[in-house]
Amino acid sequence: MAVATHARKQDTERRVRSIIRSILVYILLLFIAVATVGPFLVMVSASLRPNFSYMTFPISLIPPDPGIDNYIRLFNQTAIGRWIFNSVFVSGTVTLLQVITCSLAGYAFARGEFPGRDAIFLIFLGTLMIPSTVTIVPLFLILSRLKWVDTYAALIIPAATSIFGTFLLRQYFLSIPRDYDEAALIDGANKLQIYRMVILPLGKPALATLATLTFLGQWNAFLYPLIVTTKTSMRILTVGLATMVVQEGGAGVQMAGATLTFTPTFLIFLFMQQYVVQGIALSGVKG
Amino acid sequence: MTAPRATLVQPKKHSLRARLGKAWPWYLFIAPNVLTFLAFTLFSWIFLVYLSFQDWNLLGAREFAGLENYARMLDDRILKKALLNTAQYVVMFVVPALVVSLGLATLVNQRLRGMYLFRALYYLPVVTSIAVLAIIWKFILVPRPDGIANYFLGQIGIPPQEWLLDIRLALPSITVMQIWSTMGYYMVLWLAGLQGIPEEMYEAARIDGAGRWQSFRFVTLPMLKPTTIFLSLIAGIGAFQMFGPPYMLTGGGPVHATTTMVYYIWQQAFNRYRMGYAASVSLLLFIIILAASLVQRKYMRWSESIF
Repeated sequence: MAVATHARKQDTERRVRSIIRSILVYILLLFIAVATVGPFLVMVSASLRPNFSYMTFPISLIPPDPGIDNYIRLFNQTAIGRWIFNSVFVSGTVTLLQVITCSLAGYAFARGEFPGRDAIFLIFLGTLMIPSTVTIVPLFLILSRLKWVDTYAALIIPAATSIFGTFLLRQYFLSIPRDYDEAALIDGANKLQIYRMVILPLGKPALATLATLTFLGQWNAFLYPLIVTTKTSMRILTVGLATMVVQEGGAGVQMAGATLTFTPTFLIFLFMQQYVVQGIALSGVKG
Repeated sequence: MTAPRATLVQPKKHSLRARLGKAWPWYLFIAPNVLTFLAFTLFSWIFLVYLSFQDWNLLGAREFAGLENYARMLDDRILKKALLNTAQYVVMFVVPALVVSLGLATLVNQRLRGMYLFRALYYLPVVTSIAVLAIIWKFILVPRPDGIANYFLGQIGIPPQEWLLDIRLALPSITVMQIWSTMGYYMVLWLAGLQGIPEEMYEAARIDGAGRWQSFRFVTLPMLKPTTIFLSLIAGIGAFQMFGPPYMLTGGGPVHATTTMVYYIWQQAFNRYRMGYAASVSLLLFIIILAASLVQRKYMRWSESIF
């Protein structure tokens, strides 16, 4: 009897300790969440303050006199509309092209039997980790020789294929059972038909991962679009934001521009979160 | 079933011509990738080496320069400063970023409600462009006594600082910002490593009487060794290429205090139009990164999906 009571007491004690521990963990988690998300809330809040000049603390997140003056100034004083179009057009086109080219190549490397396959794949693999930053100078000179500086071609074509994407899709396609291919083959399907009717439908999760990562990567790109464009009208949103010159209400206008640049990536992340995180965990390459 | 299957088996000994004859559609499938690789990646590399031996000014002279660019690197004091800054940044960034993100990963790896939400919140800066992050941080680090960063310093009794305008604090300020904005990325990669540790190992440790800290110290840390090596190398390679924050926030200053290698390459090439010299500095950066990559290749692995 005494032993049982003692055991029960120990049990309650352990449970209480575990609850206290959970509460402490949550407080810590919340504290870090404020540190990571807080700055974004401040950005949105500041963009809605017509007379914003700099931030002080403590901050009231609700603007005292909210208004969209900064957004109006942004559209009046900069080419933001054009930048938004450029970002949407370039990111969208590159994503579409990469999904097509990488899935075709990934399919060939996963299923094809052709002389040179392994050699080509190994060369690709070897360059996967080499940073592209190193070649910006020669790449710029090549593009300027092609008269591609300040064109959509420069922003899109060199990014239309991806070794990382090819590799990602090949790995996934390898996991699709070959029985499906063979069944289609018996039905008389050729290579392209197998790609369209077997590989693409079954590879959808990997295609969605690649599409999400590519779109985010293109939208957020900075150094490359900075060097291959010089005209204000050819900037993408991130570069336009970094290079814009504003006459009136500079700080608030910058916050409005930052909010507009941030919102699409935030929404994509919100809805495609599992694909983003899976892709990152799979690769450890992009970032 | 056996009859149609037999026709699928490729006849073994065929001439190359016969094999090519059957396989040619595959080359069309990989053609876009191969062609852009040849035209932009491979050709860039060849051109980079060629450029480094040229006196190639975007506006003026283009002539063979021999080793002149390389000789110039030897007594370029700003390049030396850029190398030192980059090395300093890599050291200041890599270890704290990985320690903080491992802490985050262990926190969100617990079996409690709402962990998905916290993981997502911590990941938010990772999917945000450096252009946006830099604008936000410019206002956090505003050099006024009532700025946000200075407010927090004031709370622990430290006088207000000039942050990005201070020659000693500019690079550390950028480092803190970079740790903040990338820790979610490394957290996800740590999580993949943590979740790859078999549960039985923790049970065995528990049976041996290990507490929470001891099982972290004697099970988790040793099991994370491959992840640790892999992450420190990708973090290092990324850190060697830091460009956005100095471009956005400091213009490489004050007095070159935040001039990194890539910032210096950009400045030489696109501000001063010295393409040849910028190419030779790029090659130097490549050699440094290659050394790190070769070690990393050994430990590269493909982790399982974790969410």
